[in-house]
Amino acid sequence: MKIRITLLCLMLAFGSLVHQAWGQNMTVTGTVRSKSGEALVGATVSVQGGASLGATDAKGGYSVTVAKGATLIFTYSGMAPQRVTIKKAGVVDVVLEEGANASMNEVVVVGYGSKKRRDLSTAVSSVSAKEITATPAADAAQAIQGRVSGVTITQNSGAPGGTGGTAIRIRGISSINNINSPLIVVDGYPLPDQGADNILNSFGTGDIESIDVLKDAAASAIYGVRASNGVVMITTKRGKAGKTSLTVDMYAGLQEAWSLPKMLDAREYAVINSEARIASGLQVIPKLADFEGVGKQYGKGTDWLDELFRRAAIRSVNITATGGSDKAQYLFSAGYFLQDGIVYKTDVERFNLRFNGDIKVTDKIKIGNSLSMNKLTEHGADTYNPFNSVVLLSMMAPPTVSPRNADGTYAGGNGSTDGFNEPNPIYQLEVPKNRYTKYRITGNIFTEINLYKGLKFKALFGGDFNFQEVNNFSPATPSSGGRPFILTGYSTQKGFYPDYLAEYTLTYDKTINEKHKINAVVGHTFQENKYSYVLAGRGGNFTQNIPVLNDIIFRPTDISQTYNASEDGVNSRLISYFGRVNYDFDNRGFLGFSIRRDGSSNFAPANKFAVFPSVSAAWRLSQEPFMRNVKWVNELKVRGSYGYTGNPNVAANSYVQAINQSFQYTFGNSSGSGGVVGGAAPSRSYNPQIRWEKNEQLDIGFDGSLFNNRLGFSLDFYQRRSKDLILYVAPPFVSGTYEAVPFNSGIMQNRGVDLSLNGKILSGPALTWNANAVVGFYKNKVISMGLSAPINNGFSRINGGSLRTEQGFPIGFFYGFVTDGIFQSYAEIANHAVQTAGTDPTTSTAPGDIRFKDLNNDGVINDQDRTNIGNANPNFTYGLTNSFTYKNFELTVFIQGSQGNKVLNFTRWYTEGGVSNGNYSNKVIERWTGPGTSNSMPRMVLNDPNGNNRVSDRFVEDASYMRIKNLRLAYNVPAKWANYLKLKKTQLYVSVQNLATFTNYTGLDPEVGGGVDIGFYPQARTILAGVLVDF
Amino acid sequence: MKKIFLIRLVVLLVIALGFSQCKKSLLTVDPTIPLVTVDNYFKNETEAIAGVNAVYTPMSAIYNGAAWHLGDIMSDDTDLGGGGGGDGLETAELDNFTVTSFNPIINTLWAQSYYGVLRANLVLAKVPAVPVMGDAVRKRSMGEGYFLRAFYYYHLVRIFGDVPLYTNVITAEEAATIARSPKQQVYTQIIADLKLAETMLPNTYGPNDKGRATAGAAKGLLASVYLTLGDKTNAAAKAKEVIDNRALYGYDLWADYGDNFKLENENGKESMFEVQYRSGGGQWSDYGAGQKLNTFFAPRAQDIVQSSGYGWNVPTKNLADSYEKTGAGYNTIIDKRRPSSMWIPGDTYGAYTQPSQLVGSPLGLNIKKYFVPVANTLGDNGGWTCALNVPVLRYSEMLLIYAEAAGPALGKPYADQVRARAGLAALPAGLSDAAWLEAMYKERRLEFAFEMHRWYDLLRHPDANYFVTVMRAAGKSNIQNKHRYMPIPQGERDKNPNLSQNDGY
Repeated sequence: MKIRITLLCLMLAFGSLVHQAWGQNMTVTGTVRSKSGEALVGATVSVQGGASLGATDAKGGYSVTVAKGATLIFTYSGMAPQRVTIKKAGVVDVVLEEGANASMNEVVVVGYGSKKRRDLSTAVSSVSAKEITATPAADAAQAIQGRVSGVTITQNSGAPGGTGGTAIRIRGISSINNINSPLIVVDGYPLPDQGADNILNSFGTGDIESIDVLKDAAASAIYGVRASNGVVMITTKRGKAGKTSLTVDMYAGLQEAWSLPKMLDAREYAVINSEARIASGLQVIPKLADFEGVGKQYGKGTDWLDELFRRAAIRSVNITATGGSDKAQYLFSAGYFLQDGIVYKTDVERFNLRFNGDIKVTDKIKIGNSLSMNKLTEHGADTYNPFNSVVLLSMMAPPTVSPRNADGTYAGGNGSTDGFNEPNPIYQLEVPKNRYTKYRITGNIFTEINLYKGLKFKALFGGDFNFQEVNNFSPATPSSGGRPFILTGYSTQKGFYPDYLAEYTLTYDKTINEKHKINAVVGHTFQENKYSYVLAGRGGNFTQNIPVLNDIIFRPTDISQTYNASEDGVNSRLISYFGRVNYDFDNRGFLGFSIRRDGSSNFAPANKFAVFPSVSAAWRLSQEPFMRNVKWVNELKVRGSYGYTGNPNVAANSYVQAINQSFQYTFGNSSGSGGVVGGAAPSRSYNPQIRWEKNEQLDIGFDGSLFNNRLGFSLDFYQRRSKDLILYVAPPFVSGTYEAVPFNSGIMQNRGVDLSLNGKILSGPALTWNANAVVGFYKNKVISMGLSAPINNGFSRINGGSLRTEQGFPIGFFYGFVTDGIFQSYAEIANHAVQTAGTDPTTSTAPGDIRFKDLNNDGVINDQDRTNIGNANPNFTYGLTNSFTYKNFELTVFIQGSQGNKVLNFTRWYTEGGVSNGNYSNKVIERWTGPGTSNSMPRMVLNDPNGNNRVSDRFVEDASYMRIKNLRLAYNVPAKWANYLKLKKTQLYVSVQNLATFTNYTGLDPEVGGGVDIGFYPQARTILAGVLVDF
Repeated sequence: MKKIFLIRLVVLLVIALGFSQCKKSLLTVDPTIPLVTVDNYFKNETEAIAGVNAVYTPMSAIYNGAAWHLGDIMSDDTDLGGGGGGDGLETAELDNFTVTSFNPIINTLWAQSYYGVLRANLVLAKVPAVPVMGDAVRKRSMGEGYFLRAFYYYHLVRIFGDVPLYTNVITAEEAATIARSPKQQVYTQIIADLKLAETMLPNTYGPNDKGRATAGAAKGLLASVYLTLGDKTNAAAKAKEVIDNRALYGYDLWADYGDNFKLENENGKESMFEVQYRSGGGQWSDYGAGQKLNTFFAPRAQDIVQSSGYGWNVPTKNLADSYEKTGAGYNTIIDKRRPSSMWIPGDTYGAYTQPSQLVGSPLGLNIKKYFVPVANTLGDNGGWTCALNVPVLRYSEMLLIYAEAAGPALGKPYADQVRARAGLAALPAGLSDAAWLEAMYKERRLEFAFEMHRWYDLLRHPDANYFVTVMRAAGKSNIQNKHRYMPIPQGERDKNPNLSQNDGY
């Protein structure tokens, strides 16, 4: 009975859907122009609260049919939308204005929906397609550097194609042991490999319509347990109803290194190396004994950095076709990107294809898809490893050593004659054949169904198929020096990362009495990831020098060849429910509430589900009567939000006590290597209560537009607290275990201010000048380490680590000694705490050595005298864009920088003496050679008896920098010429990347991921020219 | 129209529900490589044996990284050699009695012993319930668990005195609050465990299992425990039990003392229990499968062993002087045990001659007991991985335990048996009890030189002050009564508020 009544109610309710009365329809035509009178082609015409009705034609004209009293909205990228209420049929011409207030009306993509910026009660920053494509980078993350306030972007490396990774940190650093990268959502698809710093190079940057960054908890909490580092929403371009357009954007350019360290030449090297060897009681290397002879024989000697770096090409072509009718729209794009690296033999090549389509099946049903297919191939070089980075090897290789012999065979340092046998970097780049290939298909199809007035159902099914292949082949190749490959090695890894998504949402929009607007979303998603890999490698004597694992390549020659193969995989699932309600009162007050419940297969059985709520509110003061008379304020809104998000990377299976099966013992009367038996026992305890990390964030913000919309601003103050941080706690050995166990213990805080300003400084008929500035400040502090001891890690070539995380300090501060000048005499040494005891200058502290401060005054310089000597967190980061247009010219100057970030410059550990017989930085010419000669550069002594090279403030440098990141000059070919060529729009441009960098940092590049510089791949200066044609 | 809409809606909802995945069971995912946990392991005999094997593993690290520092370098038998300077500061702390609670060597003994205790407890808890397991192996495995738990606690109680005592599979939380138990209670547990072990362990093993604990080893260790406790009656009885039943266990003395320390005689007739090592290459640490004593004890930088030889553990003059000799020089020593125990200047090996002094060894003395020459790459292929086992209990110790515990009247023939093999005359008859004890101490010192027993012998002497007196006489002026027990590692006390410190630290 009940069921029947319910059915009846349903029938009645849905009946009204069919019988709804449609108003009187009328036709409206007109043109859309810019303020300067230019016809705007492809401007969108839509009815408020409804679908797009089409776009303007080549002359800016439109013709639509709407109900009487409907409000038409005219939008065009970069312009403020305009609303016109239609009272009668006829001609309505519209003039759209450019300018700062445009941003208040732009549509911002939020999780599971979109919203006008004006109506936002949360902190969301946006970057437009124009800004993204201004940077010639394969990686969109590089393109948004300096464009978004509160988002610190660090290129970990200048390797081509962004393959070295670009760290995106939204509002500081939230986790000590887990990832700090934001969740990336592309066209509604939350990408699975959260945490990878190079994720955004899988997509064509030319395809991106906008990037919206969800910064506060209320904006991001709808993504729940994955959102504690913020969310980056990427929306790709879609087709528009109207005429077909075909756009080609192509550029080509050259890149070069802009700042290489100066090393010693052959004669200088002979002098300094001999001095250092004598000081440590060693014989001078015979071939370097005659300084003048060395100068004559070698001249300047090998300039290894010149051998390593080169001028390299970059080029890109992007073709986009769009079109469609009212019923169906499509976008098709194809891109090709080729970038040679400035490091010899490195390059990246990428193809990308995209197809995005939309079909209106009926008035109430819409179906659409996004599909992207990419292939990226990289030939990389080791520029990360503190032992074998080719950048470091090139700094260290002596100028008296050559990469090649006269006959063209490989050379390199020879232990017996050069005292130096590190690998020859040129050999390392030419001989091993390393290739990384990534194939990625990401797509989804969705349907939207209008069920009832304002009630909309959407289902989305998607997949992300990411296949990665790594091949490393090092054929045995002779060389007279360095460390040649005696045996051939080959390894290959094939990883497959399929990910599936099913998502269902119901959206309800309702306006009551024109003043009360309600928007509600509820949804359910299921996402599954099945990562698996196969890894195999062989080493030995190959019968043929080809990278193949098969036995046929091996068997006949040698029995000692090694063979390794392994396979593993991880399955994980995420089941989520979410909901959000927004209530707008009279365009004045805004309230939002969202909640998400995430269940993850990675979580402990006791804690399978996590719940993340948030609230937000905003008040548009400028709509209030008391503000009406304040003429200089056009728009003013105050916002506040509070909510929780999570970081899900709980170490797999840490909630069970695993048995470690790797123990061994020996039985039997083995007098050699036999008799091994396996043992099994737990080596760690477990934590059945282990949970995700929780991030709590409070945000207070102000948005506004002032002075006749000439100045727009957005200002946010926030406090983020990461609670339940996952820290690894070493057990007492009495437990019988020794591996640290993860506990939710510890709190970290980030407090900061985000500010963005945009201004229309000049808007004359011929000359316009717009400026846009973003600044982000944050302070990171570890409030509590909970159960965990302070954590030391960092540079692997010095014991004890260089980075420390400890309560009361920012995460990962540099931990080391404080220097206090240089001992000028033995008397000074005698009056100071003992550094290295003894009186023999070859094995103990001597004049010319660095004096370290005895911080605990115990008369001995030891580990207890280390302290906080700076950290890599900037005081603030900023970006400043100035755009000028003069007649047909456009000039954009983009300046980006970071202030107050420190770098521990460990390249100097290699090049300022004491470590090896390698080459030195030319700064050692100013070394200490006798009392009063230097108070900063110590004496040259091999093996460093005093520990001058220990981690100390000697190597901590201020790496603040300001960069002219991009300078772009474009010329728009006048319409009459373009028309003559049957083109709609033609733009010619030249652009310079990294034109100038202002910094006191002495290393290769002040932008150092992680803050410890061990000679990474530096960023290039790029000069390019391009053309953009609209057919 | 209504109907059409309703049909659409229903179809839609059915489709949506059909696609929907919201079962909680989906959140349980099996890993690709099955996860092995404490709860699902010990299903069969193979797994049970692997569990038992892991109980033995910590012995490798204890005998590489702690036993000789504590048993010999701390005693009057050896001193730290090496290259001087900052080399081996942690060992120097023990040698000079300046040890602190941060010392990594005592930490190694502590940590590794408790790894063994937990694993033994796990075996004892799980093995009775293993569904598929032969009775003989089940019984043996339980015996090994009891024996090894006793073995590790015996190491702990002698070095630290009162220690946390547990016989369950302890949780990390319990381990962070457990207090120390009185040493008497620890000894009670050790004795109880060994009494069970001796009834459950087999007398001998087949060739592939040699090295596992035997009934004889349990009885022998029990005799040693009784002797340490001063319980002469039980010590004598246990030792006698082994001696009388030696045929059962296959025990006898090697005619040549040096045969005990040869690769080919591992787990031989005189061996009751030894730490099993094998060569493997490239471990460079205490925690691998190989033994590092060969490299660490050999004459420094003489290249007669793998990795050049470090000369880290150097015999004292006092020890060398205590061998019976006919003249003034060490080359007149008549004790046949000397040439297989110690290098003296002039000793040769192939083309090598021991010099009269070496870095770290001013008298040219070095340990030879664990010598595997560099040419034997099967026995030691470098990287601190010598295959030679290290003895824990030898049959000759049963003879000397009995001799000491039973007193001069009953014990003399047994002591003389050991002396005879060393080429020494029988002891005089009618020695007083005090003289007999002194003779037995000397005999043990030379018989078990560098076998890591000496420090414990000094400690167990009836004169409670004996170890202080001896070490003062040996020139160790820092020694105090507190050094009877080593400090509890500070890192452990930081994690457990209930863990008290020994007096004086």
